[in-house]
Amino acid sequence: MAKITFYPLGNADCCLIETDKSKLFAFDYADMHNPQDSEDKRMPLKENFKKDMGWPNRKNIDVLAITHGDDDHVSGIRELFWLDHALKYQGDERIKINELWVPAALIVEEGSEDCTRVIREEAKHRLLAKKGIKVFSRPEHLRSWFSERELRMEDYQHLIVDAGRLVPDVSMDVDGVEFFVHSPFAERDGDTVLDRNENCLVMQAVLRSGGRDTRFLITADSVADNWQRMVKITRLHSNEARLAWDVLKLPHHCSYLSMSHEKGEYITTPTVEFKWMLEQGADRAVMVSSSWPIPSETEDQPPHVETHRRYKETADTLDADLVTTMSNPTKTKPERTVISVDGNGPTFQKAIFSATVGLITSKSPRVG
Amino acid sequence: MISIPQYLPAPGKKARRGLLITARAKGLVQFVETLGQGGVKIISVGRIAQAESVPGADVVELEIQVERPQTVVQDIRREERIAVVFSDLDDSYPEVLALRTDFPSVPHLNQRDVEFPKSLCLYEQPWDHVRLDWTPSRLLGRIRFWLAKTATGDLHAEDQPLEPLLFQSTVRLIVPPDFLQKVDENSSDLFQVVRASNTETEAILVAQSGHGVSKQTEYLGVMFECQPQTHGIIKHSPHNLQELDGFCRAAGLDLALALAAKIKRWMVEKPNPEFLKCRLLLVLLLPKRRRNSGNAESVEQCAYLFSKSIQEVGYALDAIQKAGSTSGYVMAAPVINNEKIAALPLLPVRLAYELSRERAAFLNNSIADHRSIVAIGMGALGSQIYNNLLRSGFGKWTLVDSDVFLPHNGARHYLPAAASGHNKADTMAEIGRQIFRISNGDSVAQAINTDVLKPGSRSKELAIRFESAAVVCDFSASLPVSRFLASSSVKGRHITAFMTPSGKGLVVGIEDSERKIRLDWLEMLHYRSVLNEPTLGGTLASAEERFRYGNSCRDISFRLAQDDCAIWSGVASKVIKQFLEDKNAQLRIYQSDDVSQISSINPRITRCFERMVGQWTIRIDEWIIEKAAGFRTERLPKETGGILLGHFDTQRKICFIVDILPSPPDSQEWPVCYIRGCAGLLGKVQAVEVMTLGQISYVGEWHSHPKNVSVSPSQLDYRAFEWLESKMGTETLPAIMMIVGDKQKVHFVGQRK
Repeated sequence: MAKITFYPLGNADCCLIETDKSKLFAFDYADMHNPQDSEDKRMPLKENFKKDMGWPNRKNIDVLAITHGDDDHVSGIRELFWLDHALKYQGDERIKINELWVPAALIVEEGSEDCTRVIREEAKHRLLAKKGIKVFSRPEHLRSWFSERELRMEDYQHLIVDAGRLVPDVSMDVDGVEFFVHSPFAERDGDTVLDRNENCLVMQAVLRSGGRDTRFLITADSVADNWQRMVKITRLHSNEARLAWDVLKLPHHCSYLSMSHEKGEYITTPTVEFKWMLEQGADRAVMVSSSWPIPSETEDQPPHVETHRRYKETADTLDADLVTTMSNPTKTKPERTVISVDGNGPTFQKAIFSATVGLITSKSPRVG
Repeated sequence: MISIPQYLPAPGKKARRGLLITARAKGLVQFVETLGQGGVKIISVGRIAQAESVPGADVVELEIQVERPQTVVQDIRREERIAVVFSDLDDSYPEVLALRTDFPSVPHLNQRDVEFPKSLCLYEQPWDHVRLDWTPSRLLGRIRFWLAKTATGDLHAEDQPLEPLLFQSTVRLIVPPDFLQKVDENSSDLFQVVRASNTETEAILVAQSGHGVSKQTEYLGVMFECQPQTHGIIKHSPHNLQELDGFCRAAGLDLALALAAKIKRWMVEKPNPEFLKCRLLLVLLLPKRRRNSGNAESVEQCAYLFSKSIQEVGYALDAIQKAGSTSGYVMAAPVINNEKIAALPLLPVRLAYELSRERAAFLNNSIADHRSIVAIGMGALGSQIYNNLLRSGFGKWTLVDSDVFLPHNGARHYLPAAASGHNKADTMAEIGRQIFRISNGDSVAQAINTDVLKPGSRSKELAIRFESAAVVCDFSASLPVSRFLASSSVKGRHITAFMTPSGKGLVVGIEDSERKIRLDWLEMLHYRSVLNEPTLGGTLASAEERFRYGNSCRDISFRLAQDDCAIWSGVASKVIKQFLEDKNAQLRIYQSDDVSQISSINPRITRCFERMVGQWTIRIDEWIIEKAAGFRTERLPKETGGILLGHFDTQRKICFIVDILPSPPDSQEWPVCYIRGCAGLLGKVQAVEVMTLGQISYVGEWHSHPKNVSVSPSQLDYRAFEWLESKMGTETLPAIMMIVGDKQKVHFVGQRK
């Protein structure tokens, strides 16, 4: 059986995929919990992630993929993972990363927050060492970065993965999963090729378990324009099946900005392309919003209730489960969102009803 | 794309929370609201008002999330709307209704008066059991379990009826397992039904197959068969023949017309003069198949009882008419009048099936085994082992015993006092057939009332049984029988099981599938274990010896506890099944201690071979030779020797060598010769005899030859052999003298080439 685990982290991401072949792929890692705040319902990620990956019997993960460098996708990485580039990020209690996946933007761009800087240094270190890394981009895009360092891009080409293809070295037979890369992509505008730097990693993971393939669309924070282009390119290349999904991570914490340019009065109207993407969902799929609970009224910050209403329409027509990480199973005590994947496809694991489970999973009051 | 769900209203009238009456409904509402857990919410609460004969009830309408995979077998939704109805009387399960208008027809629904809403059958146990630890969370967990398992098609066990009856049916019909299989179009199909008993709530009827129809009978039964269907056709429990006829038409059966035709035929055939007064029981066979094409994979049955007589049914069906004071059948084809047949009420009948061997095996957590088994000896142990195996669907049995069941046998026998004076094999076989009330009961158990050693007139029959037996079980606890079986040419594997005299031990042995190691040798291995295993030392020489009635280890004391018999028969039947899974010979010796803790020993079984000396066969195995070779090596370069222990079967002229004793201390050992001493020897041999109840004793001599010397007898050896012959000859026993040499070679003086 394979398993997809999301964590309640507020508007932040971490998704752990365990395949049928016991390979571990983590997409983003953002530990947002504030230990000083007793009211903070976000799950402390460090211990829970370690527990889920099988620590201490297992001390490494196969892949850590950073969809993009924002704080809500990388916060806390330097506390938990073994980083090759600096001794201070090494030690027995740290999880080793066999391979790091990053979008080119993370390497090329300068100046950013601390956590992002640390992961950039690690990515650079690995890239220059030609070991344990894949960079997602059109190779040409990185040419100037290499030439500035008086290096030949051609020597690094095998570490660079362009959109529109499967991630190399990951195979169904060995790993129980394959990843099709949708983004970052480049776009042809007349004779020039535009690299969409702002694009983060978007992939379709196909998990094989019990003789069945389950398609998991891993979206990040891509905005509506990029979704329009991504859908168009995919359809142009007749890769429609690569946008089909049995499990969908709603992009950008259920923000309207991925779905449309307008939030809409009551409900967000998706762009034609985004609507098409939503229609690629299969019956009884699972949709996950990695976000704060959906508010009842309109708000500036995501998640946007208007957008959620539109997702609910899709969920209703598919009889799909629509889950929000911070309200599963309840807002007062959010837990992991676990989707098991087997020969029957994905199953969203629902909480059990029990007063005693509640009792023994929390501290008792003080007794005299 | 999946249809957007529509819901039926929950039964009753919406009400405020405060108007709920039952503690269970209040508890459920409170649980859901205060726990505030995801996955379930209250939609409404309501009351069903009390009516004349119907108690009032609380209704809680819920929306429940279901954990179900993407691929489902049944259309169960991520959320289902459920109404739970709690009767004010709290005398039965809360009824759990699925309110979705297109909730599928799935297994494990209760049959109701109406098709919708569907009623979930949540529990296997009766309400009196369920209520003992009922909590709101358990109810919700159970509902969600039901929905989740229904979605994946895992709820329904293969052997369960698809649509259990919700309301207490007042009639139950017991039928033989092979009875309701198919309808014979050409017979009148009437079968007799007798009333076995009435409980406070039910009439228990028993269908009689193959008995014809007797003159005095209250009920008659008839069967009809529908066309194979993929779904259940009985959408709700039919109230009358018109409704049932409607269901059957959907499955290709014009029930009312078919029944009218039958009644006409009965009018001609007159199965008995009074049949028109009988009440008719209708059995429907509903073949099921998985897909819309293909063969039926199973046949379900349901049954209904007319509350009116066959005569009245015949009138309503236009099959018969009154002609003065009598009735006659109508010549013209019957015309079914829906109003008339709607006036023929039907009572639902619950069916219970007699036990089949397959079902018995399933219930015993095993698989039915159809091997033919001849069992000799239906005594205390044999009768109980047979009972254990038979009830687990194991074996088709021929029981052989000439013993008559006497009153004192009842203390430790399967049979009751009613069997006194009857042959044990006959009565045990009859009991076997009664355990499985099937038409070909003879195949389950037969008896040959005879002594296996002197079968007399039954010898031919017995020989046929032996020839076809895959397994022969010796439960006789009789040495002559064991020896007889060991030397028979029957191909089937032989098994022996007997208790030690104290009742505190059990010995079970099985021959290998080629019968190279036979029962007599297994018996010898048991003696060897008694001599060599410290824990078994005293097990044959029982302290209760004075209660023995014979002189072999199997002539067990009369004072023996039935609980020991029950324990050992249970152990034996289990071991027999295990042993038969393997083709090798095996022996297992069990003992129990003062707190009934059981331990066991598996004596090593080594290759066994034979030598001929004169008219005698010597049987020996590698274990003996290894032991002798060990003594020899210890003494090299000197020769050594000792005596052989074993058993003479003078009847068959076989000498079994079971053990050897080493050189007594006063022996004289040289590199070229050996003189066996005798210090302490008598005491040792006597001890052996006591431990084995005289079965093992001195049988001969052994000595070793030095290195690089052949095992052929020397001149000295021949002279000693003559001495031995003269001594043994006086008892008409052979002289056995074994020589052990290099590479574990052995030679018996005088052995034939």
